[in-house]
Amino acid sequence: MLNNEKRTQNSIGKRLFKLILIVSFCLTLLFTFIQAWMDYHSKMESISHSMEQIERIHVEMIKTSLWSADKEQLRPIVEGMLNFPYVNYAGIIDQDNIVINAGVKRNGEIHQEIKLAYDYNGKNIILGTLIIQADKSKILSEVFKNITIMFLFQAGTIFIAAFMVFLLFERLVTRHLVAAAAHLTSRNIDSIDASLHLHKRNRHDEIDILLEAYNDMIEKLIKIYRDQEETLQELHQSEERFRVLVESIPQKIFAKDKASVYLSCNKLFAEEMGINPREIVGKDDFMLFPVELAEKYRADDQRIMAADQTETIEETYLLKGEERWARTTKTPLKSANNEIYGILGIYDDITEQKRKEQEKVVLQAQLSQSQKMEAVGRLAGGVAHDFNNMLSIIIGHAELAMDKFPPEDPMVGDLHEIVKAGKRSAELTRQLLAFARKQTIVPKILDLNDTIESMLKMLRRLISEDIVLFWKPASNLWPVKMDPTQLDQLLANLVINARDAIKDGGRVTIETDNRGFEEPYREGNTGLFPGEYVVLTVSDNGSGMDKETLENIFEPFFTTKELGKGTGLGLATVYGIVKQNDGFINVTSEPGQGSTFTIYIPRCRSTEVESGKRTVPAVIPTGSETVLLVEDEKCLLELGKTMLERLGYTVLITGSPDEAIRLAKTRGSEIHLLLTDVVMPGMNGRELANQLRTIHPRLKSLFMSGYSADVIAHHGVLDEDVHFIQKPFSRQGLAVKVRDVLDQA
Amino acid sequence: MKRFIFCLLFLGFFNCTGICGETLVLSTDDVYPRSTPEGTGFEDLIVKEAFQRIGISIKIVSLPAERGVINVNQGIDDGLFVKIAGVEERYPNLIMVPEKICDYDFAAFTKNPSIQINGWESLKPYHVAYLRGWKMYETNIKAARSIITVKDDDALIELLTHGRVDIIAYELLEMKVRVKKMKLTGIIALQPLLAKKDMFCYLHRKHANLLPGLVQSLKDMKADGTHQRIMTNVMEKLE
Repeated sequence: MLNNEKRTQNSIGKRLFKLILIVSFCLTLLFTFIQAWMDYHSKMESISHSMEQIERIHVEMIKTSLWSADKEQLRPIVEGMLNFPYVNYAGIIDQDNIVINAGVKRNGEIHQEIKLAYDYNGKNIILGTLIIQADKSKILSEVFKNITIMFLFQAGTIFIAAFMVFLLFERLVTRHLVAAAAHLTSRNIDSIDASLHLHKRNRHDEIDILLEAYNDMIEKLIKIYRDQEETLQELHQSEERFRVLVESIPQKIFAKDKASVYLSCNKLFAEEMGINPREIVGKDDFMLFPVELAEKYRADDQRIMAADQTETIEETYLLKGEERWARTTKTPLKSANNEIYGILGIYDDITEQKRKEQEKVVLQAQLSQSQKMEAVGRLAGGVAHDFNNMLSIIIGHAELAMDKFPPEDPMVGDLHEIVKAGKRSAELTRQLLAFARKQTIVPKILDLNDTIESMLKMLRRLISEDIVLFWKPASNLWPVKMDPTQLDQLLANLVINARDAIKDGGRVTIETDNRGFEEPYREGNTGLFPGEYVVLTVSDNGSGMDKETLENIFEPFFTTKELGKGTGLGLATVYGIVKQNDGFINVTSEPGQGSTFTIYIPRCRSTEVESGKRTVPAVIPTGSETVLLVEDEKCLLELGKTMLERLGYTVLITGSPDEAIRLAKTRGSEIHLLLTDVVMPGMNGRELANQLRTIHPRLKSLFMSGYSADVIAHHGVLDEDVHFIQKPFSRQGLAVKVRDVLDQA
Repeated sequence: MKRFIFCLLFLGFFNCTGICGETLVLSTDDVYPRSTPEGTGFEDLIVKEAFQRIGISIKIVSLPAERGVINVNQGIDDGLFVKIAGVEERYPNLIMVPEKICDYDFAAFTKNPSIQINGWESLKPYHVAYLRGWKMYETNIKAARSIITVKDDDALIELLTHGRVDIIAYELLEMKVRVKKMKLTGIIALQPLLAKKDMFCYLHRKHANLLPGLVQSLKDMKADGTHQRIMTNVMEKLE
């Protein structure tokens, strides 16, 4: 044990020794000074006493001697006075004359004068003055000497006594304390099991009492420590279970105090923050998030704690520069006595969920649009078939009627108006079908520059004179595959739309360009797939559109134009055409800043560009071949027969496919062309043609329909080697198409 | 005229009364037979008579020699007697009445009859003692084998009788009276005298106006035999 003893430089014994020395020294100094003061005063009193004694004993004798002028007698008396303590001078003066004196007179010493009066003859005669002087410096010197000796003696005594106290204290107290300290130092809390024993006899002194108390305390501590250790172990296990539980939860968990300082968090939370969980503890939101976000979090925390309610918040936040969605459930943390001391937060990254929800919304919008188109398509298709049949009858009969009157007859003009109205009605149907992507088209590989070039004249006619049409074709433009009639529809609608947006003069610009995307690309609200596109841009510097208008411009029947000036189908038709051609359309516009429609049509890899220009023969072609006309609508059947017969053809007619088959079987060799409606009850036109071709493989077919409903087309695109004429058609259109089919090899 | 004469008589009366009513105090250090406490010594009687003749009464007090001189010099007393001439040189307030009262015989006494002296110088081979304060001896006895001064007569006589000194110096008349009174034997006065001096009365300077009267009185007393008669009367009564 002794080897382990550690002695401190600042031991109690030394301090006690120093304290005793200092206190004793001060007291000694004080008492010495008191003693010196008393000694000094005692000596001063002894001087007074000597003076009194001299006065009492010698004055009368001096008077007598002086009276008798006996200097011989005076001298020993005066000299004898020097024997009194501290008297250094004695003398008698008479009227400033020294009668006799002894010793050395000095200034500043204690001085007493005694008048020597003598009664003589009834008179009091002053014989002289006895002067006695005491040596003050001698007193001081003696006092100093005395106190020096006394002080040294007492100081020595005190030092020895203090040293003895120090040694005794060291022996009786300090060494035991040091041994006890060494004992305690050599043990840690795990090995605190040994009792403390000191090398001393048990005298039941304070050390022994302390020793007993310490050993008792150690026993109690061991018990408490072991209990605590068990409790701590249980607590650790509980904490570990809790930690595992918290860490296993696939959500971010955190706890904050009332001041929004983080108390703890799980690994997932820390990982998302990008720092160690321990580093988060002690930080607040302002250290981890941008100020605005931190302020919001703090406000949320305070509100939830104040309301003492659990709240779930969905919000966005920035993580490594990326906007993320989180759903956070915050609940107040409460102590055992139900006091709120912080807040517990559990949150989950719902970015993916949100993205899916957004996609769902988009998909739902798309579905809705698709359903809308489907409905419109069904409606248009349903209507188109019968409506176009009716229009065919109206237009056909009007044309036939015109033949009955000379051109100058006013009836011809009326009939022209009927034909025009019929065609405009047919156009309406066409637009509806176009929007619903149900339009039967015949795509061709086109060079847009050439096609648009040929359309410019027609387009310029659509706009007023105060509007300038700019045409900016790109060089080396890639080809596209598209029905030229649809391009007509598309450009006409866009230019008309631009025209209507320009009030007092302006410009409309049509541009083309090539553009390729390697990554999915988002422009405005349009998402483009990677690929190469030919871009057709139609822009104007008109009034532009607000956001709300922009969101609805492709809706069918949505219009900002005055009543009667627009059908609300123009841009819907454009949208439908673009989509039917696997393209994309983007619109940018701001009120007062004009609008720009950008249409992306996929590039066609084929290099054989077909001409998009259409030529109308100056003379209506005729023929003498036999045509089998099949049409379930009786009026139309009769009209067709009349029109074909007037063109020179021999016409066999029937209202049902079965009758047509029978006719083909009986008079098959006479028939050159099958002109059939597509949608008919019992059998559609395509099936009929197929069956007749089994009878007469060289029989040519021409389908006519107001709406073919994919019988002869796939998604509106007419099948290969299928000839088709859209109802309603004019006599000339029919003549050209019939002749064209018959002339093909 | 009558009024003038009246005034002179009035002033003379009061002036006479002022002097005549005054009692002067004179001291002396002499002893019997020269002076006694009762004032019956011959010096007492001569001085009293002299003052009486000028109309002044005196009171005689006995004081040590030096004290007597100091008191007069300081004006405490009015005069003293008898002193040799020249005392006023040391005490400037004293004035001498220039008519001697009596003589002083400064003698040497011994028990050894073989000692021969002849003046102050002849004392040189001997052990000599005298009374402290006697100016005559202090002045003149400078050289001796040893010199002892004592406080009183008894001590002086004792020195001689015990043989501690060879010679004691003292006034002849007074020593004879003391030897006789003490009934001492063997003590002889050596001849010749060491000195003989005229002795005078002294007054304080304030009484200088009395000097002529006193001188005249003393002369008158010597002339009319009063002085001698007083001396004789006292000497006859010597024990």
